[in-house]
Amino acid sequence: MEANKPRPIIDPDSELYWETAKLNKLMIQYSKDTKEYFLYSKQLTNTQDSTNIEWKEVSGKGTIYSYTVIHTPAGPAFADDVPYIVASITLDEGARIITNIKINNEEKISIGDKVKVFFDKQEDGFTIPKFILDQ
Amino acid sequence: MGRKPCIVGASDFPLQNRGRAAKGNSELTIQKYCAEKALKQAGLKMSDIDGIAVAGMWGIPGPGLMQPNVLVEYLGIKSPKWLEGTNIGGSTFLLQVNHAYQAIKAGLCDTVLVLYGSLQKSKMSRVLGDRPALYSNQFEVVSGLPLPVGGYALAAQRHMAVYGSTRESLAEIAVATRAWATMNENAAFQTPLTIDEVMSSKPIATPLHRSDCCLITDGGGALVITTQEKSKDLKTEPIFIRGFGDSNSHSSINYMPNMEHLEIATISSKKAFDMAKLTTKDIDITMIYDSFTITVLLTLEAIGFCKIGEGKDFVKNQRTAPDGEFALNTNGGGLSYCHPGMYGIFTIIEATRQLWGICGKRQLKNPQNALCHGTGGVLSSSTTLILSKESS
Repeated sequence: MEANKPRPIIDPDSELYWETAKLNKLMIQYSKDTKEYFLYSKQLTNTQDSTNIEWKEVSGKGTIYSYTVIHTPAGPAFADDVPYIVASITLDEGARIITNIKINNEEKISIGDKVKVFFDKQEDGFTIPKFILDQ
Repeated sequence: MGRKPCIVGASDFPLQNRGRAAKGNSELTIQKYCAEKALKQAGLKMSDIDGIAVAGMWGIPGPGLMQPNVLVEYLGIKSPKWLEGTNIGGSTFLLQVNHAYQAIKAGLCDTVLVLYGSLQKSKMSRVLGDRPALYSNQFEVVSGLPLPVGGYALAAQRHMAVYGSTRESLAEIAVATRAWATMNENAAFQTPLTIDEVMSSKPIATPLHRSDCCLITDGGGALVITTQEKSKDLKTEPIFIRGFGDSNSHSSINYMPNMEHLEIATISSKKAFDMAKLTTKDIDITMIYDSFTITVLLTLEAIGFCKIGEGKDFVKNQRTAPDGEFALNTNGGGLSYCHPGMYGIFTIIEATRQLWGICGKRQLKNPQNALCHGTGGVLSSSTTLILSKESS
């Protein structure tokens, strides 16, 4: 079913994120003006100048900000996966990311739990950063 | 002082068979029906209309999002002086009424028709997974987050963790709303619902279950807004637009500043109350867009009907049901009456009718002031509107 799953329609603002994921790196943007890390699709805040933004590799560690267990899939491509977890994770650097958390049958998750990134690689090399519990 | 904009016509579309329009209708016939009914109520003709506001998803594919062009042509409105087609999701029509107020107040036009129509149930056009992973949807769609429900589920989970609200708190809202729907003969679901039934309904995206989610129905509505001066010659009592406010914070749920507090509703309602020179205590009927039960809980707190985090106590023991202390979503809401996709207009239609006193079995005792609140996207946009029988 992986082959049928929706893939991002990559645009100039998201290209580096998806390209570096193929190299097992989690790269996000950093504003030198506000000292904030942030993720697509935000590009500017009130106080920053777009010339003072750079891409940085981050630790891939974070905590669960919120999550939901999906029982009614987002279309047929996800039907075999239910129930699956989608979460909003606060990276240690401060930015939030929407992603999947993979757990085994014994594991339970709660808001505030520590998580770490893994790189879910498809046959053709396309890679989605996802998370597992970091205990 | 100057011109005082007021609502003089408000109609919805009759539904049958659990929220379907009768066969032989299109999104355009629905809007024409509602427009003619609202105009007739007031004693106006289509030729009196010199401004039009419309939005909906029916233009895609087809004429696109240029719905004002389509309706001007379809309804034969000659040389309209004012057009509005903003779309910010479910709160759109509240925003359009705010804009209509400003246009009428400024003298840009005199009489505005606000229109909505949808056949999303009959056409089965609403699905959870049809969105391309484009722009701000890139992460959500790739991770399989069903939209919009998954976004609201993240907010609900967060609210429960931070404030200790529970699935039972949310169920109170679904049950109370259904109790109101039993008195609306146009509601898709008119049989009472129990807390147990909500709790045992099918899980969609935890903690939200089927009965926490709005319906998928057809539907439509129309509003006619004009000046107090013109309303003196009309058949309906004018319902004054006393206050309004808007705010917006994100497109992706990931950028909601605090998922446990709907800050934009705090901002929009404060603007509306300040403008109306009223407070929460003055409100006799509250119409809150109930896309999901959690939307109602977050909105009640954010507007200030209770403190942040205390919504669970506010809605306890069916306090918002017909026999309760707080009249909320008296038409049965998006949870039990209808939800054609962009429900916001129905909050205004019901509030207007309650202020007119024509709601039959569910009519409140002589309400003077109403608050309507719309939420669009994934808790992305907020619009508050305060309506009153009294002009300011």
